Amino acid sequence: MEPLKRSRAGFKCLLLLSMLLPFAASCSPDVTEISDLTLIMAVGIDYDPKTSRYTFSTYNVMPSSQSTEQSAKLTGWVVSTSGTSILETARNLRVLVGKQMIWQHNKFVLIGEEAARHSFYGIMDFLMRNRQVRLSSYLIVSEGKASDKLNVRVASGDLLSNDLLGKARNEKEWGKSIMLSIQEIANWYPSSYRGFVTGKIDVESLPAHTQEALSLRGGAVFDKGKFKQWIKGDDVLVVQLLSPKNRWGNMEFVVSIAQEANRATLFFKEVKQSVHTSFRNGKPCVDIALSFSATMGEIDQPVPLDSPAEIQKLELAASRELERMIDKSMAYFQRDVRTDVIGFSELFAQRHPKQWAAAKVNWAEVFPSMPVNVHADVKIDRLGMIQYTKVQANGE
Amino acid sequence: MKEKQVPVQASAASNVRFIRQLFDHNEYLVVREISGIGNGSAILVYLKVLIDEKAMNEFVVRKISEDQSRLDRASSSTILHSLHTVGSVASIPRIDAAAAFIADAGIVLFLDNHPSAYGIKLPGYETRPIEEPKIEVNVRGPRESFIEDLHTNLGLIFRKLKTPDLKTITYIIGSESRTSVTLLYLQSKIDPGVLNELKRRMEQIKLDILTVNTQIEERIQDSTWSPFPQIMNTERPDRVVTALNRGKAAIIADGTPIALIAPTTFFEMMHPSEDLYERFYFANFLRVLRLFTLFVSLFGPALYIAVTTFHLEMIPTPLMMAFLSSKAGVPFPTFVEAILMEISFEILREASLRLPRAVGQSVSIVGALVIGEAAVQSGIVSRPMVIVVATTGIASFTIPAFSTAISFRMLRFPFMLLAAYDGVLGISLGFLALLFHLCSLQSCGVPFLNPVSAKGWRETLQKFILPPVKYRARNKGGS
Repeated sequence: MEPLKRSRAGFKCLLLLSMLLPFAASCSPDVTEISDLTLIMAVGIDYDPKTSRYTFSTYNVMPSSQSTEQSAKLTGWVVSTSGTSILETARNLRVLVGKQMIWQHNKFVLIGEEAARHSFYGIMDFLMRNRQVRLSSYLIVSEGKASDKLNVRVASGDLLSNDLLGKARNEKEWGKSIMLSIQEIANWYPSSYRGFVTGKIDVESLPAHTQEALSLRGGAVFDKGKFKQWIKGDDVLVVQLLSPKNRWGNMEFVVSIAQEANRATLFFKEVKQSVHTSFRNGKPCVDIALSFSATMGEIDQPVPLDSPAEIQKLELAASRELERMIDKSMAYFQRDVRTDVIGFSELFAQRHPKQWAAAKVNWAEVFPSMPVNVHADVKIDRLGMIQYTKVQANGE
Repeated sequence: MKEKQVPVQASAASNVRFIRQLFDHNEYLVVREISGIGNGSAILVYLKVLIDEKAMNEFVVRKISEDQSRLDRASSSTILHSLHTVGSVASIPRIDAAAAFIADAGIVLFLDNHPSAYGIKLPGYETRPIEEPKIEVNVRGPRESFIEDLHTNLGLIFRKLKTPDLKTITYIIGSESRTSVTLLYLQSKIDPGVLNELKRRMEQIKLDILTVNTQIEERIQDSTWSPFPQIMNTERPDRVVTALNRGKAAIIADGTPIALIAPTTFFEMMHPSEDLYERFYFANFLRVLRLFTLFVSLFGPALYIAVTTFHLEMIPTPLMMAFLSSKAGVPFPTFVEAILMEISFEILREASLRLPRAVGQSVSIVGALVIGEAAVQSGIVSRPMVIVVATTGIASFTIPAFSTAISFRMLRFPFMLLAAYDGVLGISLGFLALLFHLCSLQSCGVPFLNPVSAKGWRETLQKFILPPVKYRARNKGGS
């Protein structure tokens, strides 16, 4: 028993020692100290088809001073370099930055128009292979060069990444910009039937100032894995309304309705969406029914709002206006853009696999002529605080 | 004291000689001969520092002399008779026992031609009055705590449990100190197996002196090397009474104002008696809060180290930016910074505990200023680290059992090492090892993590959540 006990005690000592040994080597080599870091908050990728070279720009955030009297102010600075492949270019950045760069907090990947047109596959491959890139980052296409956008000074003096994040959050309050994550794009971009719309970034001049500001108005249409063309904010709103619920669930948008001599502006919220797909006479057909709740936002003339008939009239006018708006955009997507940005092809493939097998062969010809019937139903829930009575409406 | 096993002699004088030999070089030994006795002598022997001499003169000596003069007959038997009317008289057949009796605040009467000596206890030493609890403070519960005197402490318990079912076993522990230690239990509630085990362990204690009951605790606990105490300490009689009613045993030693309660489980240590006195919503809220603070006090700095050095992607971006700006210019690695701060905190805590109360407070203030403000100003530590260490320190104070809180404070350091080496993986491995250890612990044969049983989460939850008094089991403080 005695030698056994002794050997057991020896084993315990050895185990304890071996557990302590790593600490002798100043803990672990894998440690990354925050003070040695710079955070990459936005990335810009450009491509020059003439020279076949990539330009890689990063918007980095790090403390501005080493002063310890109070928390150091964070400043953002842009560093750019070029190379023949994206990975090589990204690695070349190490020469220019004196800190360890980490990608985990990166929120935005801006892609230059040329890069999106000519080498989108390579860019997506790089983004998805790199373990540090978060798939929840937003991918936005830049009108012109992406690196220029990173160098725009934010008028408020805030960090560019914070400014962009705020603008991305504002999407749900107007619906005319759209942000897709890398993950969503990765799901859709290899499809040869459907396209998608992701964010567009541009520089707009502020009216009262000489300064410029980044704007996310509008969207970039991708088809067959490549950037195809820009679309306007109103068309982006329609894409949002016809997308799955996670896009429109919390979204509120504003539309002005002209009714006789009056103009009313209402807040709209989509409450129900139904997209019915069918094949009629062997041809695909889509019926869309949308329900909206509305709140009165603004009226430019007195209207007798205590009359149910008046409200009904207004609801009907609003419904027609929304239908007109959606019809117009759908016609544009079908005939001019000629890209299934909503993803009807996926619905047909899921719901009517047999007919789809026949239809998909010439989907490019079928899609532009496919009938899409839209029905909108608006219910005005709230009229607001100020009620115009009949007396006031008559001007007495 | 190495007493000789000598029986009491027929001659009182020779008995006194023996006693004088035993108490050699003790100038406080008093030998008083009662005069005017016909057939032989009567001698009172005592230590004047221990007994109430005034009371002895007033009650014992005066009674004896009054009886003698009233009966007009002086004999040893009348003296003995008088002694019996004063108090309970113990018959002591041996000299060594007589010496022990004297040493334990007793007066011993030696009579000629008597086969034994006679003793009466008349303690006259000063004790502290019953005061409010200092460690286990509460708002709505009783405000009395144990003192150093065993009899007073037992009185506090007997007053709350008026039943003959309350049994006591008294042990004399310490060959030199001869300290009385009383084991209390409710016969109908205690598990006989646990009682027998406790008795066996108590009987095995061999000590020279017993000054504080921690010595007993260390000898009767199941695992010596565990950082966790397996026997609960309390200074509150109401807590002992509740524990006795739940089938536990209490051990109270003379000279220690703290009672031991065994067997005890981990979660009982986490629940102060206050829980039973508060409304159940609040009590349950506090129980959950304490579990959270336990987690914080154990893992706070370790998680901070792990997350800021290994798992930077886990930090939300705005927080990461705040860390980034406050860590700028700090010369030490996060781990070293944490260790520095934790050690400073422990030094500060120890200093303010050991110093006199008035000075202790100023030490806390100076320390807080030095650690909290100057360290940050001079760039030695970052602000988030100060917040983490301070939160952890405060969290550890919410654990009601003082000794358990100390264990957790100690374990924080190995967890910090593990975090610095392996990040959250290291912490997880360490936690697993800690959990294994806690599962293997026992308190007098009862598993230490008792309510977390194999019977399922429902029963575990029922034992953790305190229902309203109406729906509480009788022994859970319901009646």
